[in-house]
Amino acid sequence: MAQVKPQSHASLKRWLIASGAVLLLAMLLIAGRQPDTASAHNDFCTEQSGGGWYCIWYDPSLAPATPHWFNAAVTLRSWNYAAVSDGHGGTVTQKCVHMMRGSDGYTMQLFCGSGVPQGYTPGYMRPGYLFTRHGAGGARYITGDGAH
Amino acid sequence: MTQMTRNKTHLMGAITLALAVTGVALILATQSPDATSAPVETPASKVEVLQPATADALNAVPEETRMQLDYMTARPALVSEGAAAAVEVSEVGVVNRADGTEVTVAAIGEDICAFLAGGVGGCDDGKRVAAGQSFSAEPIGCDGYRVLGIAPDGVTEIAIDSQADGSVDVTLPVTSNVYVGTLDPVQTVATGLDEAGEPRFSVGIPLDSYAAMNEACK
Repeated sequence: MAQVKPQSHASLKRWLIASGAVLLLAMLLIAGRQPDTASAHNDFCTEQSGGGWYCIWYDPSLAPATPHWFNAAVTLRSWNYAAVSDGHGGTVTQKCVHMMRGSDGYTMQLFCGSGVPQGYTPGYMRPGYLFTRHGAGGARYITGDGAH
Repeated sequence: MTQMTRNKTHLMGAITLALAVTGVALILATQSPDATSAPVETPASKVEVLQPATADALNAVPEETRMQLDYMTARPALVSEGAAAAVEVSEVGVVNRADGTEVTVAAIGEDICAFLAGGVGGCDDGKRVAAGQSFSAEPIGCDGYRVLGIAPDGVTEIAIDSQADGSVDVTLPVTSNVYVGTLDPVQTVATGLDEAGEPRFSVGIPLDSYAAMNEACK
């Protein structure tokens, strides 16, 4: 028994290392699959599989009449599609998405409505900057998204 | 190796295997969040223009609008950074209106969408659509807004009260659940009427608010 004990300790150590590695791997993989709920950023873009980019920006507490600009690292983009939605089941009817032309600052209201109003941007507005705005009676969760 | 050592080794192996299986199960569970979801009742029963999205039905959709449908099917996954699955177009219908405009209506996930060819479009929760509460608008210069709305079955025309003062200023025909009209930029109430002229729903369309937010027209 005196000779077995060291082997048992070594075996236990190997088992603990192996188990720890399995657990760590599992936790890392699980964490990698979760949405980034703790992140402070509210603008991000994702490259689409078919080419092009999809971008989103949101403010959980956007004050009325306040422009909320897409504000990632590169803001001037050739947006060809834009949409706006709300975090209140689509009931914020007084919301719109706008675009400002990069060349001269001309601003155009694109689409407004209930749910998720959306559509193509005019070619003469590209490249430009996107922003959302709402006219509800208090702060609202407003999300803008676009593709280019 | 003693019997006790062999037993310990087997026990450790079993525990390691159990941990690994649990980890893999957890990973698979997080990769398929909707795998066990109960089927959602389609909201299309209230919008008869919608038909099953067969290959032929989808081929009838204008190319430009098909790209819009693709955008909406991919959007849930994109918005959630991959946490939600993409959805599919389950039903679709193309409406050719008497004024020459073409509108595509589609059921996508739990939403119903309407897209005016070459113009405005939007999606809304199926229950809101069934209650006549879905509309989208785009400015036509500074003089008005082109409004696209979806009306539930049984609604034949929309009475527009452009000042929200109780009087009907204009009526818009409903063609296959869809109405389109260019309206003044003022507070507006749209009331859906059935064949007997009875109101089926009423919805406020805040065109005055949209105009107030339109910097180009100030």
